[in-house]
Amino acid sequence: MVDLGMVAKLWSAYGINIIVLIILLLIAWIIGLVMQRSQAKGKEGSKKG
Amino acid sequence: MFGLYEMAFGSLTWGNIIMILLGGFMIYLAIAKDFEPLLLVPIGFGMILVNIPFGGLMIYSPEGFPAESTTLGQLLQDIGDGKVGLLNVLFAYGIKTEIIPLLIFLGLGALIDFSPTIARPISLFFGATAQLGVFVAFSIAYASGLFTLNEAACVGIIGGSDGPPTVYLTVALAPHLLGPIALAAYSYMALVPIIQPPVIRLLTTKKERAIYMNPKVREVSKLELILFPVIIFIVAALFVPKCVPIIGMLMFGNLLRVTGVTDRLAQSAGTVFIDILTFLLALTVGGLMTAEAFLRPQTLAIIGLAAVAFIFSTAGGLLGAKLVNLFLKEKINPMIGAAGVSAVPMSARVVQKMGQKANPRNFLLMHAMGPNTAGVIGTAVVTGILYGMLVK
Repeated sequence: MVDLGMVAKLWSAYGINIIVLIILLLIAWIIGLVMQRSQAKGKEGSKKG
Repeated sequence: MFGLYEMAFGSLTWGNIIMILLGGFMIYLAIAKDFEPLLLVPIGFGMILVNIPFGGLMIYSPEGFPAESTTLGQLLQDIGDGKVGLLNVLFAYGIKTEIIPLLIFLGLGALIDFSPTIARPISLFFGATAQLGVFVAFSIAYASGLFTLNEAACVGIIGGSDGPPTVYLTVALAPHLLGPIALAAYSYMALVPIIQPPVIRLLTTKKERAIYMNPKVREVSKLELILFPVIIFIVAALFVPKCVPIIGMLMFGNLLRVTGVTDRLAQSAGTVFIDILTFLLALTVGGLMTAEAFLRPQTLAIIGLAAVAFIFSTAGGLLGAKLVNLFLKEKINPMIGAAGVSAVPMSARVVQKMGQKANPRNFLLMHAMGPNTAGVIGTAVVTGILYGMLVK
């Protein structure tokens, strides 16, 4: 007998996985943005210096 | 006469003969067709090893499970008495304890370059959507009535296209299916160049496949490379605690690679260490494939469902990329989403080849490597979620 409730519960794992990876995506994106900005500032500073 | 009574011919069954031929076929595929040779040679030979009657390398209990000893003292006694063999020991202490698959993931981490994923973080989304095949294959397996819920989840995880998580979950949920599931997972990984192109062609237009992407990928700083494994691990582990063993090992291996001060450790982890563990795992997996364990309707179903899993995972990654394209001004080539199937680096190579065919100016390899390595993270997270839901 197929337990549809369990099937639905397991499919929710797909949704959770997508949400977790979107959060990781945002974190990686923010880190990248901060790094690029600090690198750009560093370059500007060294040019002025 | 001539001690004939000690020979194995009399006890050789048709099942044994089929399995020995199948083992030989695996070795042939590995050598002649270059299909995952590092895995299929030991798996194939392991199959031959255990299908010779009275061989004694893997002893089975009357219930059909690998024989085990309860304590270390008992184990030494049992080895002496011939009640357990070398492969029993490797299975009981290396695989059933999850030590070998987890350490392989450490070695894998030391081999993976996450810079394409860091340079284009949207890759992580494709790595997530490309897990679709896990759930489609699970649903079909469960609905077929051939598999219990736990068994169906193990069949589904083949769609993650990553060996160690597949072994990790199967050992926990359905160890009796480890042989056919691991064989299907590793064999289909070799078949990625055959499975993926028709799916990609079916779901994309020629115009989409020809979308040009600048081959230059943003340069990633060393600090980013160091922060990535640490932060990704912490966040993923907080959301999905059960993925800590897998993603922890993966990211630890990767940290060794990028620190710049642990090169020796990274090199060891990514070469000799992972090689030894891989052939121990593969040989033991081959050793699980006795005729009684393998020649069952479930095995045929697993082989069929593994194809379904790979097809839908490819589709999931690709549709994820098409979805993202709806919101982008500068479109990405949707084929790179298909590389979210984490068969590294095979699926990225497939995308590169198809991209160049559609538009000779295109060089998509580095763009496809992002989703490809993100797929490894996606599979680890999905494995952790399923482990948390189903392992009691």
